[in-house]
Amino acid sequence: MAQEQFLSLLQTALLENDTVDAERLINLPSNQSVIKEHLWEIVPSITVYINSEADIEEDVRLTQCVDLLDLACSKCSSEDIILALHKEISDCDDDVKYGYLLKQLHKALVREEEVRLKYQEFAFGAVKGYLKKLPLPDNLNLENKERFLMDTDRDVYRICDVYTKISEFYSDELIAKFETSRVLVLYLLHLFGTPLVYLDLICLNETKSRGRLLAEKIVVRVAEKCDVFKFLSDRKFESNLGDIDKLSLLNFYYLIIQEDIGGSLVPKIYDSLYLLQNCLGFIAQGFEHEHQFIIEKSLLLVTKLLALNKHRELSHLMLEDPVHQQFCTGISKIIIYCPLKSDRQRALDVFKTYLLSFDTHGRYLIIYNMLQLCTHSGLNGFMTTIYKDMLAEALKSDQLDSHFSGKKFHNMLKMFTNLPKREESDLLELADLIVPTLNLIRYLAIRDRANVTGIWNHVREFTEEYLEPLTKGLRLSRAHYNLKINELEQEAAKGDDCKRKESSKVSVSIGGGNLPEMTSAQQMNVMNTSLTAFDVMGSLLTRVVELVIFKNVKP
Amino acid sequence: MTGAEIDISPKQDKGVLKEILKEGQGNDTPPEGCKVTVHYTGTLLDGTQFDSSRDRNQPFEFDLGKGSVIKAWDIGVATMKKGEQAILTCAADYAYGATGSPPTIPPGATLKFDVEVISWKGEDLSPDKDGSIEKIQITAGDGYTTPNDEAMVEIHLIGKHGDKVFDERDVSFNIGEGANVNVISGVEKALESFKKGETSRLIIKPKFAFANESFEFNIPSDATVEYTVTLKTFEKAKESWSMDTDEKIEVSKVFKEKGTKYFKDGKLNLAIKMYQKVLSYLEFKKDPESATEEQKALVLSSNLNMALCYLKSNNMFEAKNAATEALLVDPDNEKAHFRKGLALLNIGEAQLAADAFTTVLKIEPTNKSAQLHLNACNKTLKEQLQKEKKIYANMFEKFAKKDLQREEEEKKKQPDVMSSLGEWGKEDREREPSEFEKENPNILLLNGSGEFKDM
Repeated sequence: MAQEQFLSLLQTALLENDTVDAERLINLPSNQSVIKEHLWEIVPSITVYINSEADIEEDVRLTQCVDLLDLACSKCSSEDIILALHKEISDCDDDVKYGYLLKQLHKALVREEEVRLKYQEFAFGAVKGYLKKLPLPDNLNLENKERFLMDTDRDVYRICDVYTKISEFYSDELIAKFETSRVLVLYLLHLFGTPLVYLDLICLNETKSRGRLLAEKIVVRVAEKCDVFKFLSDRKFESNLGDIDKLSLLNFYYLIIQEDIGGSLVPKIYDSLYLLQNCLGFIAQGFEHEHQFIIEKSLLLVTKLLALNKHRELSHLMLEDPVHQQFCTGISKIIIYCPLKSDRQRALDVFKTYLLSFDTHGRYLIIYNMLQLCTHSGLNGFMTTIYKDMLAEALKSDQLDSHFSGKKFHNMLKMFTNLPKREESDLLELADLIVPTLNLIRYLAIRDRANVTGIWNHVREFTEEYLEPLTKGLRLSRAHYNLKINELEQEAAKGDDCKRKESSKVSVSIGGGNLPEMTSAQQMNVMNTSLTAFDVMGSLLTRVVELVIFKNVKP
Repeated sequence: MTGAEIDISPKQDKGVLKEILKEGQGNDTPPEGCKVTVHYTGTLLDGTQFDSSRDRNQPFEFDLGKGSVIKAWDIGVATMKKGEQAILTCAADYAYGATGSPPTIPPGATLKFDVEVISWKGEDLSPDKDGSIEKIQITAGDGYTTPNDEAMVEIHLIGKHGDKVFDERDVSFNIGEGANVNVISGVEKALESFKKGETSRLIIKPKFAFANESFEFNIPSDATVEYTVTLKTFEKAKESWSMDTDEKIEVSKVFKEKGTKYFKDGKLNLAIKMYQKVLSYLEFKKDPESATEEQKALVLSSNLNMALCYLKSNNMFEAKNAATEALLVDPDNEKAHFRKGLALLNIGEAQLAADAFTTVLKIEPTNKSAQLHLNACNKTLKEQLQKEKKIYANMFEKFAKKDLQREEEEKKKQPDVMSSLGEWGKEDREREPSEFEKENPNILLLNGSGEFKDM
């Protein structure tokens, strides 16, 4: 029978729900060659009746068609089936259909003695390819127990369903058969990427999400086959990595190192420092994403790795690897912009631990480079305080480390005391940096009378470049705010609130943005808070100036 | 010698104790950097087993001496022969330290490993992993970075074919340009995995040796050769996170020297590249205010030299830009003005060039060369002036004439209604008038000669 004729007869039979006739057609000896050569056209004619709707309606035709698919496939070679199913899965967007196709694919893979590498790639690639079609769960920024809700999210539910099917596909039988296949391991690793990495995989109060249970199974599958840490350094792997995104590896190592999955299958012989250095790239990659569960994985993994290295001092030589720059850039973004307060806090803790893990030169380099990179005064102020603490510690020893004196110290001081627009700088925005800087100078003015750091060599410079513009700036800002307060008070007295906008001649901007619509009382509040900040800076400044003058007067 | 426990830690602090259970074969031990395959079982001092490759039935493979495994292993396994089995007792400082690796390994735990070395092989550096470039490390290097493509490396190499040394020298080159200095591609590929100070033996198959290229050594094209290479130093990646200003200045000085060397050798492009690197390291443009005198001097001389290189390579615009950059640092620099003048003169900006040379003479009145060039400028200016005079002479008359011509041309372009409109096409017009028409010329608008009048 010719192929068109066979196809049309088959389609008609199925349309008329005459599966007996369809079966007869497939079994007909004269049709065997057509089936072998045109399986890729026959499969869609049958699978059209395999879908979610039919499944819900418990349509008998669905099971019958599944059997027919099985029958048709049984007539062909594994490699032909793989090709036909590869195409069908690529076109498929129905989970039920996907499930049945996987079952058929599984059969084809384990049936024959040998499946060529290329065909293995087709098969595993098709399985993975479907994941791209799944929707990603929304980023809801859930906290504490709220996160359990994720398991009831429709998208999460669907992702878990699909992963269950995949997990069944990668059965013991299949794994055993492809024991030496490198391709299989790579495709298993792919599974940890999108969308699994978007799921909450943490084990909270001994409660594990459904996704977590599935992820555990896949980790074990990989660990059974090979040394899980070999992907950290294997360059051949790297070049083959192609589209294995770093997210997959982030998720994979998060599960192994932080969540301790894999147990005795994971070698306990790798050096903790090696793990840290080589995971940092994936961790930094995680910070590039906005989704809370990805960021959290990065944060938890790096926390754990830093904890494992708590007992040793990291060498500044490690910083030669550009991943550290990526990491610092990434984590500073989380510290500043992450919408979840708990993550911001955690990121700051991580950064502090990370920074303090290094030797003095390493810390100096990180602070030095971060100050150039980061414009957030809060974070820069934080680093100023750390530098001050390090300095205080260093001053206790007889021989002062070169990082706290001479040129290196001067470099730092210059960066701390940088007022971008001199007296016209936005002092409120910079307050978080100004206060720690003034503290540092005050501390040294009192502590370092002998000038071991060399701070007194730069008095003139930082008086002219910093203290004086700051004094002037504070005076201007105070006057400006007082004027605004006066105005507000007058308006309040008039009780003419609705005309407030027109009559406001003085406008105040904080952090570059104008104050949002607020009631007079709220505005007053902001004004007063700001004035307090100016007062804090002012009093510190006065003390610093006093100390500096005092030192200069005294011989 | 089996049975006795010996301290093999370099510091002799009993950090790594080794007790041989089974002697190995031969005398060779695995060299640093090679891939060693072992079987092991790890236990705590109380006998609890925490890990075993034997239970997993999966031999364990790792790179020796690269810090990928705990220190005790890098020390211990390096002393073992092929087939040797030994117990390594590792103090916490040589394993997971005071922290341990919870939950499996408690803080401060001493670990015992029963290790058996199965085999080892050199590191395979060939792109296709077919063993065509094999590296066996002799001395480890420092740091974490390795040269990348186009990196400038300084190496010492010894090339051997069989027992014959055919090449031994110090050489520096950019990776990718090794062929210019008779360095085979296998060595270049391998260098990308070297750390600073590392010495390694390389075994290179013909594919990456002499099969495709001809060198002066007279080695058969199907020969597998052996090289011993030391990476003495290499240029660090740009904007390295691990440098502060002082270090950057140091690096840029090195580049400047190299630039000068290339310039002397006539390799202008390489020289320019070096000077550009100097400038990118110094980041002068980002913050000119706070630059030190040293930085300024470097920026100035690099820009001056770069201007000269560009002048020599006939790239006048770049030469002008470089000289202008130099003037930003030192507005009264004689050389900068002079080179800028030269560039401008060549672009054809004689007036601007003359200004530049005049400035030079102001700074240094005895600069003869500047005087000569100024004269040349003036000559050019005069010529230009003459040319312009010719061009602009009788400008109005010429324009008037031109306008007239244009008007006429415009007129010509006006459509000829008679020939293009209606039924009165050309044939109609050009036919001979009939007798009647000739007799009544006024009616038919004929001209005097009896032909149709053109309207």
